[in-house]
Amino acid sequence: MKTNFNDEIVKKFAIATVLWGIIGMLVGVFIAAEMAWPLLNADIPWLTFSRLRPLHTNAVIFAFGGNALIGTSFYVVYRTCKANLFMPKLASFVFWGYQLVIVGAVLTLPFGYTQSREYAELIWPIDVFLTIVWVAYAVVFFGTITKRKEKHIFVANWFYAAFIITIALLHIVNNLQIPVNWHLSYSVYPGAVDAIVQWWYGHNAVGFFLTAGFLGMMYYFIPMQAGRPVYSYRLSIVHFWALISSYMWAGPHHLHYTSLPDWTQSLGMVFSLILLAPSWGGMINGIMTLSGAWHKLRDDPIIKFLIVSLSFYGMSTFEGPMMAIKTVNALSHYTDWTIGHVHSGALGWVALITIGSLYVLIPKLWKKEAMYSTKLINTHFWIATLGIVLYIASMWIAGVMQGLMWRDINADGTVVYSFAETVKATYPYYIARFIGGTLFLAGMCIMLYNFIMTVKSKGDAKDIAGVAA
Amino acid sequence: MISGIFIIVMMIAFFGIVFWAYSDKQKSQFEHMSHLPLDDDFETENTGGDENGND
Repeated sequence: MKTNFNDEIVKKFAIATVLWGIIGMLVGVFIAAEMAWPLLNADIPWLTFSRLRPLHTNAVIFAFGGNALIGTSFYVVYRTCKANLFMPKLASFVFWGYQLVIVGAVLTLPFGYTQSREYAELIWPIDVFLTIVWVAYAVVFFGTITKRKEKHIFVANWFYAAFIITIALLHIVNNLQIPVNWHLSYSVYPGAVDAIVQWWYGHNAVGFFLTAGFLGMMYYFIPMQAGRPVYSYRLSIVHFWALISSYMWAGPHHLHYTSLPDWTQSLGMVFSLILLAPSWGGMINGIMTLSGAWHKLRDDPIIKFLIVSLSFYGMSTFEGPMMAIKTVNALSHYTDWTIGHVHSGALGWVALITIGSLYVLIPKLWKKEAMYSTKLINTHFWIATLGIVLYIASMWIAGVMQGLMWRDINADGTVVYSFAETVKATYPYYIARFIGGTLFLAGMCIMLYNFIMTVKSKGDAKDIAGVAA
Repeated sequence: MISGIFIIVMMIAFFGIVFWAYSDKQKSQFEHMSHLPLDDDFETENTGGDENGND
């Protein structure tokens, strides 16, 4: 009996997603604790916040999110094209190569080997290797699309395709560096140009990695779990093109009130505001897919994950454009409000849609009727949601408070509060954030247990593929 | 000048896409596409013959 290679490779990505997710979030919880109790770094350099923070962001974005995206994209592309994955051996190379890149990050970032570019910290040899892996990924994905038996390319694949192409472009342009030795290199761009290249990269990583890719996931797994077709296929096409043509220009909102030319900042602000429309197009389309099956929102905890993730997507894509307005940004920038905003997107949207999709996918991959325990999925849902709310609410309050304290000026022009006073005022919110993060991590551990028990369970689905062979 | 022309071209392209997406011609095809995630056909098809040499 031949095993179905397509599913075998997706299984590997599913396992990697959950494991790296737990590791990445554990590092996040640890550095959150360090913010509240700085002594936790024990004066060991590689345990300091500065070294572990990039490890956390790389692990949750690229290891957890990346494995989820590559894995589900393989699943979605082979199912909707009704064709086996192109070049299976290359697909295996993509999996192992990608894990090697992540291990490379773990072995360099804590020891201070970094490019010091946010979300692009990896040193140049790892960047070069990642480029090779990414090209291999593109070959497998687009090769499968060329083999498709459907006339059109399903909309989820458009989103995944935009993600693959744009990440390749961003990664290469932002990492153009001149190496000095095996770990040190310097950017080819000077001054403010370097800054705008970095945030053109940074914001489009949000747009194409954390948005377009996960919208691809959304357009397949929500209809599948809801048992309903995509609500408006027309809207999906229009909001896809609107999204990818406006995202590219929003980056300068990360550099408001810096040495970036003023018109560039305004341009970034305007395009960020425009982004609200295509973002909400996707949210509405996803939520309305449930029309006619609203009761599932009550009965099915997996649907809860998927739909609540879209609600967080809607919230953070409203908050984002608002924060990009220069006057709002004057208050919010450099405060913990930004951290709250990022996590409402990262935990609320990216993680919840991934978790929901994995709960749909795991029983299908391992040929089981359902997950081992639906009750545990429900527990996971509530503990994760509670964790997110605690996290983002505390960071909102902390951020607005910091912003107001920093800008408070005495009549003689001196500042009312010293920086240390604002840190002291933030202390209780750092503890609340730590608790929120811990709850979210606990939910992931419940998921791992449920995952293991599902794989080990004997209740095979009736229509086992491969019985005939 | 060139950037102005470029903007017009891109706008025409975008409205072309909108027009195409909402034309009646595509309706039945989109109806079929929107049901693709619900389609479990490939599983059985996949186990029958293997075109790709999945070993």
